[in-house]
Amino acid sequence: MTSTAMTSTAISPLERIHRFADELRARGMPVSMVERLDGMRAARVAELDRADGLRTALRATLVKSADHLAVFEEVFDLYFDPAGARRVPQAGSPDGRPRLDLEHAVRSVLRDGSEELARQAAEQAVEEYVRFEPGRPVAGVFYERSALAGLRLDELVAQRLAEAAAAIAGSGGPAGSGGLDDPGQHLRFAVQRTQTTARAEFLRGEVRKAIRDLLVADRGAEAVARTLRQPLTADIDISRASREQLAEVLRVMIPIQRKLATTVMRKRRSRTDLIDVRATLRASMSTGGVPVKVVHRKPRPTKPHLYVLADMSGSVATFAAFTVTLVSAMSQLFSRLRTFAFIQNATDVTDVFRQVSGPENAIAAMRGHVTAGELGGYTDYGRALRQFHATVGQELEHRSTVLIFGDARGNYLPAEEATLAKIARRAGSVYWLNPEPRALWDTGDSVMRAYEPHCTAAVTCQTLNDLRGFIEQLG
Amino acid sequence: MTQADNVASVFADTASVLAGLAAAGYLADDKIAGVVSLAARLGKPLLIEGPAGTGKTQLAKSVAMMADRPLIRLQCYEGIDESKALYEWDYRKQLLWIQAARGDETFSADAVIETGKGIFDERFLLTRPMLEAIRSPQPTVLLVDEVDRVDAETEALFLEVLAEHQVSVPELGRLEARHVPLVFLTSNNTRDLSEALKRRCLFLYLDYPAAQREREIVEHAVPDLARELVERLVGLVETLRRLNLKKPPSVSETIDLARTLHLLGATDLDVTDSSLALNVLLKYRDDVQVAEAALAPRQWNRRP
Repeated sequence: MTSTAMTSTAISPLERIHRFADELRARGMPVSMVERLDGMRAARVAELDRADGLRTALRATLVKSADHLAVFEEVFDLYFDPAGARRVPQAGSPDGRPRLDLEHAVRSVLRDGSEELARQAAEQAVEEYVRFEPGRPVAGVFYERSALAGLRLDELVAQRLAEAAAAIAGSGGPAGSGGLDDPGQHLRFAVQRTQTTARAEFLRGEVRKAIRDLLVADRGAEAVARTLRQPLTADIDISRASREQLAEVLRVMIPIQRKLATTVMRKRRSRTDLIDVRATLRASMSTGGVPVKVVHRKPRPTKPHLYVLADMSGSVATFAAFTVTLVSAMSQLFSRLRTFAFIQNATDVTDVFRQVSGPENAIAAMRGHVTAGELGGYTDYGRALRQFHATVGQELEHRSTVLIFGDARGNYLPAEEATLAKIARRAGSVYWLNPEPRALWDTGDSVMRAYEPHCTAAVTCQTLNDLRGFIEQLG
Repeated sequence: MTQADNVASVFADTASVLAGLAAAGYLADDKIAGVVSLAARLGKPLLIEGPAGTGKTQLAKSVAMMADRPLIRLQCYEGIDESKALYEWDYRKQLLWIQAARGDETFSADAVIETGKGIFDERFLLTRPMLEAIRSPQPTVLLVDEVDRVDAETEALFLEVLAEHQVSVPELGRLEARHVPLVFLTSNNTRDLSEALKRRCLFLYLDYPAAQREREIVEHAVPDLARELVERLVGLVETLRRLNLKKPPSVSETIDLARTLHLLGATDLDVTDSSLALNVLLKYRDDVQVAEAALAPRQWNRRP
């Protein structure tokens, strides 16, 4: 190993890779023993004279999914990439590089997108504007905010966009109308806006890195990594997620929908069944009547009917809305899909989901739909079940699956397991997804134990991963 | 050993892979070249994942070209099995052989059934891409395209080739590789591949290229286009990729638009109607609508 990457600590390079892999595991990445060994082997042949030699070697061996790349980069920066290694030394000025005029620098970064300049500006901004307090176990969000405020980034971005708009309008047609009316101009401005935001985002990232370097120098990579540790997006508890986390969950959900649909369809199709005698005999003609090739009848899987009953109250709502969106997006997997949302009364919201596009809108629309009629109401499971039974009870049959989302917290109203039993008798299967961990079931006003015996299965479902596992086995 | 020399020289480091790929007409970046070099030197298969149209398949082709090795391609599809991927017994030839051998006095059906000698011979083995790649007398590049389309059970059949470079034929025993092939697997991520497969591979995520690299790719493909215009074009594509589209424009669509503009003799995006650009870049009507809405004036006319 070269000296640049490893000087800050006394531990051996191999040990360092081990600890790095441990941290990745602690964040939820599935780094197996084999991959760890591959990482070591790759590190041995890595081109350490190149800036990203070690990074490339470890990335190719330890990361096996695009979802984990961001985590890898963050942790790698902490463990192997202290500021000293990134900084390009410049001769001349006393501390190795000249001071920048920050405002000028930011402007030219936004205009030209020079990455090297952005790096220098970020480091200098951190030096100048961050009042660093050593030893505090913080993630550095506050430091980041003060550095960005010092750089006046938002203000300069707005200025830059205004300048761009003016320049485009000025260079417009001979008409010189002053506005950006012609479609070509819209396009040019939209392009400028994307580029400027991307450059501002890069600068923000560099500021974050510079602060992380400070934190690592202060408390060591492992301690900082622990402070920053967050679960992988697919493992975030949806009911308790912050707004940013929810946005992230939504982003991850789109590819998952697609994957789930393929998996489920394939599973159905791969159930090979009866032999097609006619086709087999025909095929045997070419082998003199000997049936060498056996032809199976094409499986025609029956698509299940899916009925969803979702509690839209309080903290359960976020989770239920996510699930319903996910299920609706895969409606091609089911020959019938009906969705009911309830707080007090069960309302049919199937069409609400069909009309709006995108999960965010669906959630908002569903909330509006349900709460409009029931403001101030409190959850009543018994009533919702009765209404559900009255509405769809007649159409339930052996291939119907009923999904119920909710924490079974009925505000101390009596559990009406008899109604659920009636539903269960008619339907093929009834699944209850509870966003609370099993240990909390039946505490307080939760009456889960009363309902559970009537369900085909009752499971805890808190994260995207739980949900995915459930839908996969449902298909 | 000539093969080792070959690996040593062409795949020795990132720089030489970069140069080699450029000569083969593929503009790589450090990340791609570094991983290719690593895969060749470690002798491990490389799993390439990423959105459609980012040059996954092309990378394998270009590597074959630069290393001057034959490319053997296995296009995966749902329902592919070992008789299409690994090998198959040519029962027609076997039947023919039995018919012909009947006249021979030394032929004894019992002996053939007992030992399998005669029928189960390499002469009657139809090699399919994977077996062909490892039995080839010269080193090869094996491309397993769209591996995410095969069923999980079939995927397991590939493991032996990927890790041990051999194929077990029950009647013949192990057929080992004459040369270790350089294996590329591509995946569009329509389903999760098994852990077992991933464990045996190095991983490369090929995302849409950075603006700088995409400009170079366009300039390489359509050399006569004005620089200014290329920059605008790439900027527009980047903008579109940030929107929530069913099918964001890939590199090949960028090149298509560049060619279109070149044919029309355009010198600036302003000249052409923006809806032309969108119709070349996007493949769904819904996407065109989303893009038009996002690029519409009302969003930013509010600004001073």
